[in-house]
Amino acid sequence: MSSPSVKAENGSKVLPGDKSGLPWEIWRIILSYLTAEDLCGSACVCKTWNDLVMSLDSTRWHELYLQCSDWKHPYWPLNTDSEPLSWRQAYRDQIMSIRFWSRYSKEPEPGTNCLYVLKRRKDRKVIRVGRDMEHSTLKSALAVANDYDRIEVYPGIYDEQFEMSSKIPFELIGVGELGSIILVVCIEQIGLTGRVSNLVFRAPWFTNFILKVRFGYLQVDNCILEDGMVYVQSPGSSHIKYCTFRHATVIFQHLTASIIENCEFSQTDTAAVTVEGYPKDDRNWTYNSLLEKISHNCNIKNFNRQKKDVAPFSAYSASTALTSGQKTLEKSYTFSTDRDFDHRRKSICSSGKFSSMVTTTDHGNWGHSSNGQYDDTKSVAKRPEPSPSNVNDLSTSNENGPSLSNENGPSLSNENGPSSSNVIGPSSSNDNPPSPSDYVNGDTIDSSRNCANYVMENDARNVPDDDDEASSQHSNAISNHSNRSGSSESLYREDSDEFDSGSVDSGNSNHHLGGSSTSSSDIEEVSYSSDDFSSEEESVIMLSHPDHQMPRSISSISLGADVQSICSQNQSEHIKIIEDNDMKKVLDEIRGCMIHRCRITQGKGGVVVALQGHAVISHCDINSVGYGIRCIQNSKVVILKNEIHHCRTSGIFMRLAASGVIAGNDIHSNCEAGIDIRKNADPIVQCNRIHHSKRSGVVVLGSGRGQIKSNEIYQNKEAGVYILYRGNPIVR
Amino acid sequence: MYKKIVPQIKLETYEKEVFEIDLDIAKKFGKLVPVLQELLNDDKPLTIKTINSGTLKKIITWCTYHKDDPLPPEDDDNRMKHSTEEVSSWDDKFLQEDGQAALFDLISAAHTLDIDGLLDVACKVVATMIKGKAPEEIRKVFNIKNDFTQQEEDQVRKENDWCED
Repeated sequence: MSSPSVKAENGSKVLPGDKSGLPWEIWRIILSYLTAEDLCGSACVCKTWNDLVMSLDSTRWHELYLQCSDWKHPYWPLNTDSEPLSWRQAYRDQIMSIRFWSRYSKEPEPGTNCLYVLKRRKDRKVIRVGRDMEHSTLKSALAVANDYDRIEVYPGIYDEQFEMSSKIPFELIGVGELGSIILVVCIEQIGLTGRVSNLVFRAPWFTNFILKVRFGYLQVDNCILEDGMVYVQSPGSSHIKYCTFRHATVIFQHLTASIIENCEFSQTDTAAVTVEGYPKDDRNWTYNSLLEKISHNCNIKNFNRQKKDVAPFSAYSASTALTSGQKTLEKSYTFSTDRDFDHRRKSICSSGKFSSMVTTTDHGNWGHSSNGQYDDTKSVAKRPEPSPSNVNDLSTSNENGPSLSNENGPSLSNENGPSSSNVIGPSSSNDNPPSPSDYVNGDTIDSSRNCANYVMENDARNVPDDDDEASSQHSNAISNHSNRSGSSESLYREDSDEFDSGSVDSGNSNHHLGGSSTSSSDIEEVSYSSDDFSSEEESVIMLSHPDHQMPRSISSISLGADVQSICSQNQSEHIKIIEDNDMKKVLDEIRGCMIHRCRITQGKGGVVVALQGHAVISHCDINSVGYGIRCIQNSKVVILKNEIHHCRTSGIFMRLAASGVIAGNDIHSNCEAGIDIRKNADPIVQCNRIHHSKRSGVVVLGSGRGQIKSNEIYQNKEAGVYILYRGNPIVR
Repeated sequence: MYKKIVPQIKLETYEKEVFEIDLDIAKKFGKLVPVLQELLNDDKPLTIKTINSGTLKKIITWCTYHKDDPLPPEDDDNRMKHSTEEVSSWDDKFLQEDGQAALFDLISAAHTLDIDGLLDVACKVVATMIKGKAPEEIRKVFNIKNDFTQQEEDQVRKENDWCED
């Protein structure tokens, strides 16, 4: 075939996009026959080829990812139907992560060790364990294993009941479907590095431990751990990824850097993950890499950037979520209203007997409602140490005992009183004459349960008009503002009627009690983030998808509606966090352990951080557990972008001088409070959505402190923010 | 005699050379088949200017050799399996014997005429030219100019060095 080629000769032909060359789609076909390694090489050929390789992300790279049968979806166990930002990136991350264990070197500098490691990895031996293999037991295989050997275990149950002390670098891998290779052993890692993958572990009879890491690093990929504990102690470290814990828990002690990622916990008797002990200074070779990952996840800028990149995906999923959410909402609306009103009427009646109705519905921004006393409060609240009275009473104060101390109560209530003139509460402000200094509970209260505190603002939560597409945050806020005051009469007329009787009752009792004594205070505060715009430019919350807010007509009536219908999708992904300096400072300092993209469900507790432990909990779904996250004893936490819901008590407990940042979370439908801050705990609570709690949104009492800023708190059964017994937060 | 029984279609190439092709061979031409069938009784040939005579000859040879092959599976799963099959040695030799330029012409033509089987196998052959090669070697094979600056190249290489084991 010597006929001359019609088209231009030479290399220009291979450049797609060039008219004379092969078309782009043919090059895509050609490249889709390549392996990941060849694709990486091709990406370095020229700019066009680089673009070509990147353009194969959802096709060839996705396919390559799926071909690795023991890899789970990059977002497993959470949003597995959403696409990752990039399949190529996901593939790369998996490869890098799997190899990480063997990247050990004595020199801290990366790069210098490569040859050394590669050389050693080349002469790695494979030892097979299984029926008809050279070894029938793990024990005998271990006896012959050398550094970096790969031990492959074939399907079967290996009921070996021994403790394997690993002193040499090892890799232990199940070959076959996950679940078909079961090891009943306890592995103690005292060597430098190791990896286990694709195995089912059960604790042997003589111990509760499945894996113990006392020294060195252990990587656990794609395993199932049943009936036992994983224990990691400083200077050891661990990276646990794509694992399922059934009736199994993790304890981290004194760790500076360890990660649990993409794991699922269920049926635990204690907390699924316990992080305790201050991060000790002795650390191993994995410290820098793991810490880098942790800090990356704590960088708010990274989220916000990611959001932009993922725009096409998220917009799509948001729109679908919206339509389905609306449908279910409408359903719940039809059957829930009557029941709700009955319920509320009942509680109102009963509340009248026990205590006053306290309806200090602040307009959100104290700055606007301020009088002379406002500044005093602020300065008190901003004082870093609790006031002397708080300290004195620290031990005796508790949420149940009727506190008789006067110091904090009356002063705060006084300051709050006048601010109620600013209330836009649909009914209370109109019908309930403002009675300064009367926001007081009677001494008949013996538990906070009886302080039936209903804040009407709670259900009259402002929701922007659908057609009200404000272009800027600022104008958005203003339009909401006017909506609310305008709508309060027309839309909430029914509410007002309901509450009229209650308000009258409360008015009476207030009056009565105000005359008799002002023993303890019970002040509520509802803060509306959207109202903060005018003064707090930096601490603004803005939903990236304003459409997610419920249509006003529905939300105003369906208080306490079937909440599950609203929350079918993790909405925390859509909450934008505005970072300020206070928050940044905490985020920059955090080290310790990270729990990322995990699901914790059906157990006694979620995560406990204690004894000065440091932890980052991000992008997790914690639900149906006794408590979501419990931070005590000077622990320091960063809780970012989680969905914490349907807990049998509160979502987040902060106690005993625990501190940290709680931001961008969607906390809802918990049986008690969303966030419960007591005993000198001092967290920054910012840009969260706290709603549908069976009781209050945020509870601050018993010398709890904290900064509560720019949150969206709505549709909670009781108060939005509930401050009692020397709770002394800054609320903005 | 035989030729009268078997229907034929006429294709005219870039060089205005007219080829007569048996319809059972032309059936490999995917989406073009209905068009060709309409032209069946027409004496005027179908002109395809983007294909030269040499390439068309090769295509006819290939289609004749493979005319009894089963049609490629329609559904994606099987297609995937199909696509990982090795290139037969006859195809490999046949496609590469005239050099790269001819191979690219062939791919273009196969694309135009919608001959799936040929396109697949030819793309695989090109892919094997890339496999296991360093970027410099790939540039050499396809005569591609490196348009990265040194700085860009370093960065791109750094981004892509993770696959090396």
